[in-house]
Amino acid sequence: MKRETDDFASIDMAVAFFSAVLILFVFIQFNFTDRPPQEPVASVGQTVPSVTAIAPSWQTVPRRSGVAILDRERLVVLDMSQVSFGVADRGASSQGAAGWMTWSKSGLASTPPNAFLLEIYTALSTPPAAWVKDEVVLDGDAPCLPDLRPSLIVFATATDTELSPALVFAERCGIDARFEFLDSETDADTITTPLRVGLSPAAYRRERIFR
Amino acid sequence: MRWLVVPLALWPWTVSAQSCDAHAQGNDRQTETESTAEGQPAPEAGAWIRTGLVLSYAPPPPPPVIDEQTVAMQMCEGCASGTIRHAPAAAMRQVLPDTQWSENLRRLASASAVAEDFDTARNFILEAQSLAESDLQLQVLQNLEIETALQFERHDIAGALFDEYGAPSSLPGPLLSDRLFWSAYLDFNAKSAATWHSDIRPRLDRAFEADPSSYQVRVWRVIAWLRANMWRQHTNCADAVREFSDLVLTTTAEAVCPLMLGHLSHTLERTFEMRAEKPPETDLEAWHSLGEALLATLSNNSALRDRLISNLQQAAPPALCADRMVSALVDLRESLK
Repeated sequence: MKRETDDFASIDMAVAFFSAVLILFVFIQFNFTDRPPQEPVASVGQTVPSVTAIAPSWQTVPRRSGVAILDRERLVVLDMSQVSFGVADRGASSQGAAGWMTWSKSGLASTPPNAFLLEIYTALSTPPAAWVKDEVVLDGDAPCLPDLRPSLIVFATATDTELSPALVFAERCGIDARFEFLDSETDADTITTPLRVGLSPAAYRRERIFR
Repeated sequence: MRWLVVPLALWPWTVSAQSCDAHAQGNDRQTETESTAEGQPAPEAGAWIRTGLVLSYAPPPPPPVIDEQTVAMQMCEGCASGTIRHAPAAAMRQVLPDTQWSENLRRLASASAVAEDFDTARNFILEAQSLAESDLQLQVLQNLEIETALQFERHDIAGALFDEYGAPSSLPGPLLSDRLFWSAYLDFNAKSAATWHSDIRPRLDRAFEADPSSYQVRVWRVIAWLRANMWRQHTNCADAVREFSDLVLTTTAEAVCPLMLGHLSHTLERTFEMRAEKPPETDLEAWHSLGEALLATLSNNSALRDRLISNLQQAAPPALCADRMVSALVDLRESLK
């Protein structure tokens, strides 16, 4: 009699074991089914999910770009035509204590005539009035100004600057904005780091593309 | 942006350590066949195979439609040895003879590059032209004037300037190449395939001859081939696929940089306003897909390449030559394994 109950117990154990394995398979089966793809969430750094941060940079004929400064919630667009007079004529290159620029030819003597490096020294928050074309307050419904260039190089400090409003503004107005970040110790109100604008053959080597 | 990023596959840097000399590889293969086939007919003539007592003639395999050796060599070389500069003008590509530019001329040319309205920029160039010290300097500044007009999208003025300055063959090659390219660029909106075939393509071919290092000319030759519906000039699909793949491989020669391939792919997408995402429905879409598949192969993006091949297989209704493209791409894929 004792042997019989032993047999029953082992059969019970075997059945319980196999059903446990079966149940496990069922769960595994469910885990293998495809899940719907997850919606990408905006990351901590990117609070606006779908704006173009890097504009397509190589074109067979590049468009002429303008220069702007992103100062906190304000986009200060420089008038590069006024700046260019200071490049052509050394006497016009200074605006007193508010700002000045240095021009140097870039590279060796044989480089093309339009290769250069221009350093503009100015306080980011208050460039000389003669060099400023427009000021845009980036509060969400800033009007698109008709005289902005279709592509802009935007200088911004590396810290404490919220890029999203400027990106949204550029996207809304159909402007390709390319950001250049200044040193982290750059102060908005004093003249510390120059804005560097330049063009040189090295900018086109291999994969580096200028504007 | 994902469709821009997809073609930018990671490049296996380990490959660049190998030697990529096409001639060396070709010679190796040549000597192998010579040593094994000594005393036998040349490989082009096919081969006799003996099975038991039966001697049967095996015809030679047809040459590959897509130049496999060039593809393998370009994939191997990658971006490392490229001398190609992607600058839009000859002076910036540094392919002109050296000239000494005075500081005054340099300042004027730089000022015109800084200015953001066309009249100011052009006035600086005109002033510089009046001070030019040699014919070469004047020609460079004339090119700069046309280029500046194009940068400000003043196509009317650029066209008038091209008519005035012309494209004399006495110009140094790179400057001539730029002028011919810009004249073709100004005709971008030409609608008829016949114009592209008989008028624009010859100009681009001349521009390519004048300066093969100009990347923009290379890209535009691909665009012009597609715009001119060149596949209709061939009765044989294999010839058309061979011609187009050779053209794409000429474009990427010495310039297989992943990012530049992405830019090239993006330029084609913008020009034809199409993306190779679904099975092609027109001939143009099929040829565009073939170009993308070649670029994906070169950038070692096998996932994208395989997807484009399967898209071409499903082309519905079957686009002209799609089956030939698929077989050529599959042959290429097998040869690279």
